[in-house]
Amino acid sequence: MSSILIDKIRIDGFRGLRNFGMDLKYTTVLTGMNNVGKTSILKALQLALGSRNTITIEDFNIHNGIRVEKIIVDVRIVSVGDDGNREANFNDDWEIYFGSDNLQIDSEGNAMLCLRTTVSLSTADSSFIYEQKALTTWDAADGNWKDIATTEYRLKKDNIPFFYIEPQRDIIDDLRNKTSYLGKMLSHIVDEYDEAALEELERKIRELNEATIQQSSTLSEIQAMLAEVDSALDRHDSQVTISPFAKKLRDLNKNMSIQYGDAHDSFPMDYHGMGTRSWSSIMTFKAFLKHNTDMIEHSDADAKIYFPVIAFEEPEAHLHSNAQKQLYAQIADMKGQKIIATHSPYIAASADLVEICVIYKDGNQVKCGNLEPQHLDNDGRRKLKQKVINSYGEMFFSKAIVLFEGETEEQALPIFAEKFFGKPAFTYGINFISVGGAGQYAPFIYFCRKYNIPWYIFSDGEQDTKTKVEKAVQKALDDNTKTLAACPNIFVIANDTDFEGMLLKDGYQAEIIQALKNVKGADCIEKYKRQHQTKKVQKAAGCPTCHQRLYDNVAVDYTQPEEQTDMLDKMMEKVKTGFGPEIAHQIVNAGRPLPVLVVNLFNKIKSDLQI
Amino acid sequence: MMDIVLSAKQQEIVNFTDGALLVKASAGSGKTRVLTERVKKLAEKTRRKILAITFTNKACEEIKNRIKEQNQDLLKKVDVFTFHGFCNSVLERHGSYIGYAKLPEIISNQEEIYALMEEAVKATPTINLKYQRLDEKEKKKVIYEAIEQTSKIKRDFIPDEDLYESNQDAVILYFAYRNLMQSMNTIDFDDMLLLVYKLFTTNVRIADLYRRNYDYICIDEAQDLNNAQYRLLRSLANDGYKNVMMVGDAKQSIYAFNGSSQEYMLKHFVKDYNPVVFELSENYRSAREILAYANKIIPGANVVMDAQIEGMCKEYPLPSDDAEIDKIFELINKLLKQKKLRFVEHDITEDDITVLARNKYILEPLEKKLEESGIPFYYKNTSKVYKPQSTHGQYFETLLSLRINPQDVMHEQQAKSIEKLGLNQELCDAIKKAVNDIRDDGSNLRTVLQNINKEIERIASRLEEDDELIMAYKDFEFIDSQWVAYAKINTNRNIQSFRNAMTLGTTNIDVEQHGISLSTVHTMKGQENNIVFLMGMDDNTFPDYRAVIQGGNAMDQERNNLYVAITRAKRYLFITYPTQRTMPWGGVYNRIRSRLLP
Repeated sequence: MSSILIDKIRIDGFRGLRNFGMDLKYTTVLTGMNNVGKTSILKALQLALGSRNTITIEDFNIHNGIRVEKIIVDVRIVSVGDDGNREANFNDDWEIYFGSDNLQIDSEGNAMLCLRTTVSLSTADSSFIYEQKALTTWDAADGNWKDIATTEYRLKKDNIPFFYIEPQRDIIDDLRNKTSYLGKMLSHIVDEYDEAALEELERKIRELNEATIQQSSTLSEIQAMLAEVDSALDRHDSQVTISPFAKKLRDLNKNMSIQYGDAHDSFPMDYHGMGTRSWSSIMTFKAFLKHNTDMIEHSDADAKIYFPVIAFEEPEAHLHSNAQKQLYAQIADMKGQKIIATHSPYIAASADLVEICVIYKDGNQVKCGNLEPQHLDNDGRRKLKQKVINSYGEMFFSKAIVLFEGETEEQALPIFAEKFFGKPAFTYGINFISVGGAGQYAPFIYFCRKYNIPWYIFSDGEQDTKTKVEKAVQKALDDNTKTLAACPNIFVIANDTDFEGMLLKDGYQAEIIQALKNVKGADCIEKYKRQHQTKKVQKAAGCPTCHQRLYDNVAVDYTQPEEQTDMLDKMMEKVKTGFGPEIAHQIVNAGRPLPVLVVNLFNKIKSDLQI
Repeated sequence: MMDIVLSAKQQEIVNFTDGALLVKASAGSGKTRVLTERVKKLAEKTRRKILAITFTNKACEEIKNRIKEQNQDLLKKVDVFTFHGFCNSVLERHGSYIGYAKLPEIISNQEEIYALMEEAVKATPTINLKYQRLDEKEKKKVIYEAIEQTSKIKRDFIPDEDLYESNQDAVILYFAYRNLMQSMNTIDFDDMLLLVYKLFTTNVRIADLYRRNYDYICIDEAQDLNNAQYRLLRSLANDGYKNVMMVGDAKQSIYAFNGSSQEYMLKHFVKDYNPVVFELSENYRSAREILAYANKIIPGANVVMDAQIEGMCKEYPLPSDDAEIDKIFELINKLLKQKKLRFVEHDITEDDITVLARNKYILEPLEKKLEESGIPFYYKNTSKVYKPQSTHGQYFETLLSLRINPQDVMHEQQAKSIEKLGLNQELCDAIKKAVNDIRDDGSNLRTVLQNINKEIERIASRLEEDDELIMAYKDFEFIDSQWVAYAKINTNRNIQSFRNAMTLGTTNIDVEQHGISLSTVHTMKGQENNIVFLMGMDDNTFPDYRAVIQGGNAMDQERNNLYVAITRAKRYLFITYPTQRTMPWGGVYNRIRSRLLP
């Protein structure tokens, strides 16, 4: 059956967010630097769908030194079919829930409910005025969405509850707190027993309590002492009892403890670290959701609809990386819509690419970057995902990404970078990614563009390679006029050659020879020379009858520099694996200056990132 | 809450669920109750909503209240609207689909429409040339005709293409008026229906939303439907939508001026929806005696036999208006003391008694008497807006408006048309002078008004007897009392704010709605009570002296008014009239029993 989805949110005047808009999925992962506004987005959603008593005057955005008068949060609710595509109509249950006449139809003919929540400050008594209305359309013809006309409406929240999962969670607190999700569930447990069963269970507890006290002289004594207190109070109709175990089932939550451990040993939750306690808290919330869902499914209501919206703020807090890796799947599996604000690369790496939104600041403006599926073909998507997993999600948190074609660069450039910057490149958030071929740049550039990550290309210089790179850049930037020369972030090896060719040109022969020996064996040069004593040289004239080219076998003179260079070039081509780090280390260890183009690239990054 | 016992036939209608339904119901047959009961029942049943359409805001309120009485929550499932209220709500939500991103200003005021049409004429040189040569009376006729023609084109939903060919002035003015409205971003009531019709026919998906929103559509007073309203209904309830209920009484069609016709209910609806037809002709409101009496006034209006309760209907001729008041007062006291009456099931209280009269001045002496005796009473007033009852009173008010705003063309014309009705020349001059004499701060208003009344007295002394003069005298007395009320609560006084206060009704003090209700026959429509006194049933009072002079339609209207007044009574009806009346300035004149009484 079709479901609903909050597919868009717009925020204005709330904390640091002005004229901000983004798309939401069933699961949305918000990442980005600290302080860019991830939490503000969650809180804005809470304002629109959940409790509003958290607003303070500080939540009103200050622009050019003036506090805004109004906070606006718009959300758009649409109907989505089993295939994940939008549907023309909400199903009957939701349509009735929203009220058909409050719905609008977009230009594609699909129904939507556009909800506006505003908060303004009453001038009379400094209290906050909350209003909720329905918008008469989502996209304003003149782009000025804040002025769209509204009509009287207030969203019923019964079947679209909003939950905010704080980063500070502790199952121990949950157990004690009646208003926690666990507490709420526990306090209703007593209703599940019929009267006879309840009596029987409580009788057993009473017996257990009596036996426990009887068999302990200490407990018996305590009880006797307390009885004296009672007589001092001069009350004869009462008696003091102590209960080692909760007497009433309705008090279950007071004494309940949770043990984690294996078959032989178990520890009460109190002895576990915050990680386990925090994770357990999320899991009890999941149980709570499931409990609510079941209640609705089995209720006698006509409309068995339930769509919780859940905001998670840093759910990875306190969790071990292995737990973080599982967390995404556990959250994604929950019913309803989930928005996760996280710094965890593991969560980002586990999510679908299109679910990830990077929040960043462009000047003073907070923006959201996300990948649009229609701009990625399956191949590009797969390659990107692979690299994201390879980087354990670090790619999303990059400050700069350097793209190139081959394996040698992938291995050599980080070593050069460490030499250049004096620290490993990852400490500066610089990522080196091999795209696996000149034609494969597009999805990676698109990725960087959408997530606002500065990107650089370090490309081979053959003519057909340059053409391919240019096409890929044009595609990713949606700009057919872009040339490589016009991009200061693209570095192309000169002289129609590749990385290895560049090293030869830059005069690293000695280091190359040493690197080759280290990789292929000390005698590899001699071996090569032995195997390639002659070379074919084309004759001036071809075959007089069939016009085929004719060759002479000519002895090679390896004392000639060009023959030496040719040999090294050919050898490097055959030894890709393991050669990259070796040559890089040779150059760095020999104290040689780095290749000029590499230095140019690093200088550019250095100035862009202000390192 | 009142007990609801429905007849078998009424119950059948209430239980009717799916399909089209036409209920032809006569006055007092409980049609609004049947409609409300059915709406309630459907609201309990459906998960969607019910659209109930009536013709006045007052009727909307009544239906809402009846539903609320039973179950507050039910109201969430029922949208009770007038056609214009419904259109307003639709345009507010979905007007952007036909180019109205925000709801434009709606012009409903006749004066504004008049002014706009006049501007349209002036903006059309060919017509303006002719227009300027006309005298005032002819000019006015041209404008009113143009307004009516424009309204008709809109009501008939005539597309522009069909009009381009025409060179008629009416069509040219229609376009000029429309352009003018567009340039001001305003629409009128006719436009609202047309716009929603356009919205529903050109945006099928939006019409679908509303069609699905309402499982049932119920229309009250369906005899008053006009073309535009009916076609709007069709644009919503089409495509196999069947659950339309119409309730109406062909005999009660009153809105004829806006192109309404019972044909839409009786013919088009029957043809388009093939409804199951019920007829409700039993009058459940009134007892047998009262119905029999009413039937003598308009024969065959009601079926009498089914009325279960005998009831009582009595006439009292009385020697003077004072005696009339004394008699009514005596009867009221007797009834209240007795409490248990033969034809009323419960012990009666003041709330069970209503006193009706043709105009408000008839009720005044009774009001004083009740006030003195401490019996609780209140005026049943739908609006507290004051309107002078006499022609001379209206003339005074019109001149006063002109005095305040000399540019006010509307009132200038109104004054002229009143003058043509035939005023007493001496009094007319006195009023003109008086209006001129009034100081801006109103500090001499009381003297001026009292002088007018002295003049009336002087004129009347030379004439036989004159109902208009008496009515006018009372009007000026009343305005005087209104000034006193106004002056008490306003320190910064001027005649303009006084006039505004009077038209807004803020000079009338709101009384608690409890006790004996006093009401004119007009404000009692749609209401009922167990015991009704109909007083002042002397000729020239009811029928009104002006209707007697005009005759024809005006007299038919008076007869209808009387019929309505009588059928407000459920169990007891007391009709009284004086054979002599005292003039406000002293002296008596003779009266006879109303010619309308059987």
